[in-house]
Amino acid sequence: MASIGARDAEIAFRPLSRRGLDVRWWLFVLTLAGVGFLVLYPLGLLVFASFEVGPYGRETAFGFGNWSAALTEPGLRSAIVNTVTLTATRQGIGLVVAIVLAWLLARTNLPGRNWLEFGFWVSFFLPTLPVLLGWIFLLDGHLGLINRFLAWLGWSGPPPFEIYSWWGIVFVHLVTNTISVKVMLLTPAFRNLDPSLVEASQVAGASPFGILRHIVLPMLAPTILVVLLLGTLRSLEAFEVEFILGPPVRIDVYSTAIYRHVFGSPPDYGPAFALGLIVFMIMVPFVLAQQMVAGRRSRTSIGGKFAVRLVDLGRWRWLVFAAFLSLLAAMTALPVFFMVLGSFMEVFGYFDVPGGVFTAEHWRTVLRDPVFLGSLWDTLSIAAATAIASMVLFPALAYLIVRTRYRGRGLLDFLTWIPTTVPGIIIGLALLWMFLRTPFLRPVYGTETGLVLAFLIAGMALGIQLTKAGIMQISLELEEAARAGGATWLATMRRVVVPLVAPTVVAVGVLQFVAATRAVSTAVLLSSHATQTLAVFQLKYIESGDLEAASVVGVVVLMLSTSVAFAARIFGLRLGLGGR
Amino acid sequence: MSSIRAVLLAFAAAIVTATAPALAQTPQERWDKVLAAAKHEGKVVISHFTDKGLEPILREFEQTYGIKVEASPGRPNSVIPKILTEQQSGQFNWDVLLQPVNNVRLVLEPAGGLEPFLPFLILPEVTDDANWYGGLTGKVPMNPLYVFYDGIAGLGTGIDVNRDKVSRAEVNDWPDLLKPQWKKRFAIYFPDRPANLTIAFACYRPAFATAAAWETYVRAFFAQEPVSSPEFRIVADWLAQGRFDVTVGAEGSYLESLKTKLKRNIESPIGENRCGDPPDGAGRSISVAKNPPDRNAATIFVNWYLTKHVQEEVVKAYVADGAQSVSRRKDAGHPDPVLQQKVVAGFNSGWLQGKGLMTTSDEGLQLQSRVIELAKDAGY
Repeated sequence: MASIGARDAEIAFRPLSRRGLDVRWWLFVLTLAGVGFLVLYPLGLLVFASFEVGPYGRETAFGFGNWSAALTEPGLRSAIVNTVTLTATRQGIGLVVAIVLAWLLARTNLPGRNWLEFGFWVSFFLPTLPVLLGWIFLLDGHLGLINRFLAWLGWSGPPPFEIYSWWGIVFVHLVTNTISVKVMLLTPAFRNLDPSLVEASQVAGASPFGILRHIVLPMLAPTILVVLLLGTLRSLEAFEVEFILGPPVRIDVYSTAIYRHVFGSPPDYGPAFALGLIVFMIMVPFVLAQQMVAGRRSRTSIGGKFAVRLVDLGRWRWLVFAAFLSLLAAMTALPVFFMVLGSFMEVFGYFDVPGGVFTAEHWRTVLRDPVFLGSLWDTLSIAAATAIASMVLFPALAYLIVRTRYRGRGLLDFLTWIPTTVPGIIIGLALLWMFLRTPFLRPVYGTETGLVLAFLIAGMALGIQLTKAGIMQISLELEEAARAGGATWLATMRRVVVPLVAPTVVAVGVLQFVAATRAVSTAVLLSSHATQTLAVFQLKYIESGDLEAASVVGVVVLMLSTSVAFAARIFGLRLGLGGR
Repeated sequence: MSSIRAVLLAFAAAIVTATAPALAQTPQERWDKVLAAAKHEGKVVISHFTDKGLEPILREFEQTYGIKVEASPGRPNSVIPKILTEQQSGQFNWDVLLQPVNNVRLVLEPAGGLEPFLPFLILPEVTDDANWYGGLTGKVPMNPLYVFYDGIAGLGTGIDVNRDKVSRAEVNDWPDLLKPQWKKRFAIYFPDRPANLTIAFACYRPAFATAAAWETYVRAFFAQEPVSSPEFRIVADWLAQGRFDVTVGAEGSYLESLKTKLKRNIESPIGENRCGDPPDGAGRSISVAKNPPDRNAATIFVNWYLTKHVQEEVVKAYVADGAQSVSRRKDAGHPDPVLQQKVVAGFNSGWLQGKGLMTTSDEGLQLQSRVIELAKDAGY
């Protein structure tokens, strides 16, 4: 098995470094400085502001008041306990389920696996709020359709499902994002797994699950760790689901505490920044640990002898397919159905409206809105620019981190994690200050360029880590063979590296496109009256309680995202869908 | 001595010289001059609340004056701090704010983020004190006035009851909610910000001889552990669907539309109304941001917005959305004259008489803040 460790990385860039202090070294230094500025400056602003005590926008004093207020906040302990237990539960369940699903998709002869995988992408594209309301409609403990259906069947006990509960929160997270994003990230890694050890195990008579446990998982440990860390970071900042399902049963989490400080009346930013920085301080050791593990462990790779033999599921094949289909129906088809249905209902969730249950009025309202077309165009251009820029910049940064031996590459890797270690609402505010307080960035504030830059910073960790994993799986022997054959570095990149890493890069591009269409808190803070994405446009409907019109916008955003993913597939870039 | 006199004379002459053009101009002349300059500016930048009904009105301004409206909807808790941050970084991007009063008063005004409002008014029908309930300032003891609230919102009474399930004997006033049978059996809007629930409590304050007695009631209320949601739509749904038969603070356009569309027998009872009938608040306001980039266009807009015709259009839009909104303009008509009379009567007789409204007066804001603190103490 070919593998890449620290030694290989040195080999990889030796030809370049022989030239001494060349232009490339300076380019690296400039890159490091640029990334450092874009992530450390906002962080520094946050740290500074966390010590500014006083009403926002007025005279403040320097002190520890915000930190003490944050740490002595009533209910903080239970919020932390809830956050930790909810995160651990959903990440634990989500990871196990996602590993099994990704393996089934990538390494077995599951029928229709390419399209099944695409279903997880669609699930990830769905906007959270309309989907959440759809689930409330189904699983409300008193009036949920499923509980009513069971009662109609003769169920006489208390309603078996109650979405307003601890397990309700876990469930909604699992079926909205937690599982789907992990499957999306893990499947390509499973697919690129060097088959030689797996085949040896098969010859030795190991069972499919034995191979998964003893061969596949250890080989993929670094990738799994990245996925787990990214998932945990997302869990710590997630608040939409907890914000809606938590209060009725008095479940508060850390992120909702931050949210209340930020969006209070008047806002109380100081304690919110302190709480956000505590998350950062907790997560930094995990990021460093992940880097250490990733540095030590060897990676599986795409070598020159690559040929996949799929594991035969035998008689379980169609049963697993049926189970898969049921899961995808719950995660994708059902929410899409309810979102589309909701957009045509007079009042979302009510089938007893005397004047008529269904109407096209919400579609007319949205499509006739003079702001709609402008928002659609802004969304398309901003999301496309974000996707293209991320497909160029992130692979370049990932390549620098993985394939060079510059001393600062570990630091560069660490820096790219930072925006994700601070909750999204807080980093949005920090970016707002960065744009406004930096003379050379001020001209782009409120413009499409500014939003693209903000989305790139926010999506940096996910994009670079994914691309890194993709590059690390490419055996150096391929590059070395090309170089030995007389190919220049550029030709090697163009003919060997880029084609192999292309599916991952396109996947990153699609993810960034979707993230840009869905981002709300950053977009609200950094957009202007002249630049407005559909997510901001949708907000006016959500905030005025018009979920029906919001669902219309949700359907449009979904169509947009799905079309992009389809287009990427049609053009043969496959998003890691195509099995080898 | 003569030198002092000379200085004073020079100072007086300077003032006369500086103000003479304005004094000499008739309102019409000033209007024409500002309008010409506004057309030259070509646009007015407006931040407004997420009211859907407002957008056609903004388009009407564009059509009337040929001045482009660049409008951006958003909730005040995210928009107002953003505007202040921009201003403090030297960026003055906004002209006019059409936002609920709270954050504008609590954040922008004390930080110097607003222009004094009254100097922007030109049209005689707008500047005439007699044309407005409560006069131009609307009883708000502010000098100078930064925030002009043009509407009085009938806020309802806070409590909503499904009368098909709960009789008047069971729940008809606030004390009924403290009965043991209602423990954990009614729902409230999450009490983390000034809104209908906090306003309702503030309105209840005069029923008690002392603030301490009022606080005791508020504590006892939260000790009943009402179930809460931070989404008013969900609280309204709970009431309409029958998950809860009593809610507090769920009122709003959505609940009103549910009552109408679903024909639900939902009543807002109250034994005695302490805040007016119905209690009054300033649902909306208009103000001019500090250093507006399009000062003349902003001037034209605020005058136009406060004319009789536009105020009627604004009220129609709010009422169509289910809000009990009335213009402070005395001559502005209303689709529901009876409601208009009730709201105005509440405005004239409310217990904060002379101190502004529940959402504009310092006293009203302090009471609401106290409710939020007490709720936090109770674990909300």
